[in-house]
Amino acid sequence: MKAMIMKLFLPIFTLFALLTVTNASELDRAYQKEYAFLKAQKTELAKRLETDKVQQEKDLQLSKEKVEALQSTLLEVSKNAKTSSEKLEKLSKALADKEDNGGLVGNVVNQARLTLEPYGVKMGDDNKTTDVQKIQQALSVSTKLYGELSSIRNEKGEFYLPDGKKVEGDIVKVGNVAAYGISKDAAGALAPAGNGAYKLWNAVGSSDDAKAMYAKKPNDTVNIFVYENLDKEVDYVKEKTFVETMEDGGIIGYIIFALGLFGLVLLGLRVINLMKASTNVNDITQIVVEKVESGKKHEALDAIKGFEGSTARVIKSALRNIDKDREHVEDVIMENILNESTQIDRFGGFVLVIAAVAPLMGLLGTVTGMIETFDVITEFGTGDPKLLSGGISAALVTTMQGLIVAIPLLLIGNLLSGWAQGIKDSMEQNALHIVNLYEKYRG
Amino acid sequence: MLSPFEFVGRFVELMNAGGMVMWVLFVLNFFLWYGLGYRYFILKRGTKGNVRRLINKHETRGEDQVMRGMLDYAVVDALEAAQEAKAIGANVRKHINGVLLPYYSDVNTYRIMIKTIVVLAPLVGLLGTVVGMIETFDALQNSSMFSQGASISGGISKALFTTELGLVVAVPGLIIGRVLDRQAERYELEFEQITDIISTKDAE
Repeated sequence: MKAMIMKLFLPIFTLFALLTVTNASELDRAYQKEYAFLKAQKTELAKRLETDKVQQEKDLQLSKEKVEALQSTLLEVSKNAKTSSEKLEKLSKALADKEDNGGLVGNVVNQARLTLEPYGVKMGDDNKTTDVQKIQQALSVSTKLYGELSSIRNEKGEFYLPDGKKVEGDIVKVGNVAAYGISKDAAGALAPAGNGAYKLWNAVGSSDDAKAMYAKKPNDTVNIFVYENLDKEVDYVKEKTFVETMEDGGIIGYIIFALGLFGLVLLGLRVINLMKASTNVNDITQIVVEKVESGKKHEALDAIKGFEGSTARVIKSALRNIDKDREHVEDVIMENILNESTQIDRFGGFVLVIAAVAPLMGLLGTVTGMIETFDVITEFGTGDPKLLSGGISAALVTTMQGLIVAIPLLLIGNLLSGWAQGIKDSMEQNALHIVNLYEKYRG
Repeated sequence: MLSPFEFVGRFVELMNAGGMVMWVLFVLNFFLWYGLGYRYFILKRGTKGNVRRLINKHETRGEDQVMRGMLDYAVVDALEAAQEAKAIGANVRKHINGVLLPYYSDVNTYRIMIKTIVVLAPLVGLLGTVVGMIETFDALQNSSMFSQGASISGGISKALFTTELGLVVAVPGLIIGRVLDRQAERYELEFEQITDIISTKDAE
């Protein structure tokens, strides 16, 4: 292998050496040619570079200007876009407002229609008239209606009498809140009877007012029934009778009533007692004093024998013992007065007890009544004021009954106690007076 | 200035505003002040100074003494009774006691009546209040706002007026009655003192 490479290399080397030696001058010339060519090329390239640079700068400048111009255009366009969108927003808002107003106007028209309907005024709801026209129509109709309702006007009509009979006649309407009715049978203020009908109110003295109103010459003061509407019937106010009031009181009311009657009976008995005890005090004393003064003390006892009652008994016992020791006589008198005082004071304490108990019973009745009322309210709620006020009114009745029973019993009972005390005092006085007189004339 | 007729008219109007109970209270008030006046004049002392000096005066001056009040009469009666008792040899103290008994009952005249009315007047006022309340609640029950007449406001004013008048009647009666009761108690003590002084004087 090595011998082969050496065999090749050697001829090539020899050739190369030959070439180099033979072509040296030719090579230099080629080189110079090449150099000149390259130099020319270089200058040409530099020149080209120069022109390109200038061109490029020129292009850059141009582009920059172009970009700036474009930017300003963009700015302007975006500004335009913004104002446009604002305009759009405003417009859509205005549109919504318009739509709202349209609905509102429709509502107003509806409301006007509904409000006017109960007064018998119909409003067209076709699509031919505009809302504005509808509103104008409603306004004019309302004004007319208002004028009508706020005036006094006479109409033909019919109404019910208190006994339920329906009569025809003239109805004077005072605005929309009151009315008078005049018929051949009766005249007077009218009250609602339900469902738009009228009935004659049972107040006294309104028939003259009705006629005066019909003649449009109202009096200075008028009897009038003012109502809110005619749909709801108004009840006549009934005067409560005594029995009804008693029934409001319930069981406790009857107990109080019984207590009161019992107390009255006791008072009556007590008055009879006291009258018996007191009527003849002065007569007896007179007779006895005369007899004793004239020294006939034994006849004195006989003279008053016919007299009955507490005083007579006390003085009789005093006369019977009058000869005894003074101490003894006084003891006898005192004992007799004590004995009689049970009779004189009889029922007195009990009447006062009843007088004290009756208001307490009344209070009890009121409290139980209130409890019942509130129980009812717990069940049915506070929606109906009648429940509450009616219950309280019924509950208060027992307090009233208690006081009505207590006041006379207390007054008369106390006065009778005073009377009883007076009788006892005068018995003591008279007995002692007689004893004193006797001692005087005995001496 | 109101003329008397106008005044009476207004008074009647006010009384009627409270209903029947007002007139009851008015009559009670009349009796109360009659009792108070009576008691006042009965209990007017007339003489100042204590009982001891009064007795001395009567003993020394005798018939010449001017009578000024209840105490004077009581002393005179007591002295007479003492003389009488001495003359017949009876117990002086008992005799004087017997003579003075009417005075004891005199100083207590109308006492119970005044006390009763003082207790009664507020009760009557309360009755009026309750009646007015019943009326008000009835009116409320019947027809809340269309109640014809003045039932609601009338009931309330009735309720208020009567309680007011009841207290107006009772309070002066209570105060003056109390003062007069004290006066009466003092008289009773003084009567006892008269009895004691005269009966012990004779024992000396």
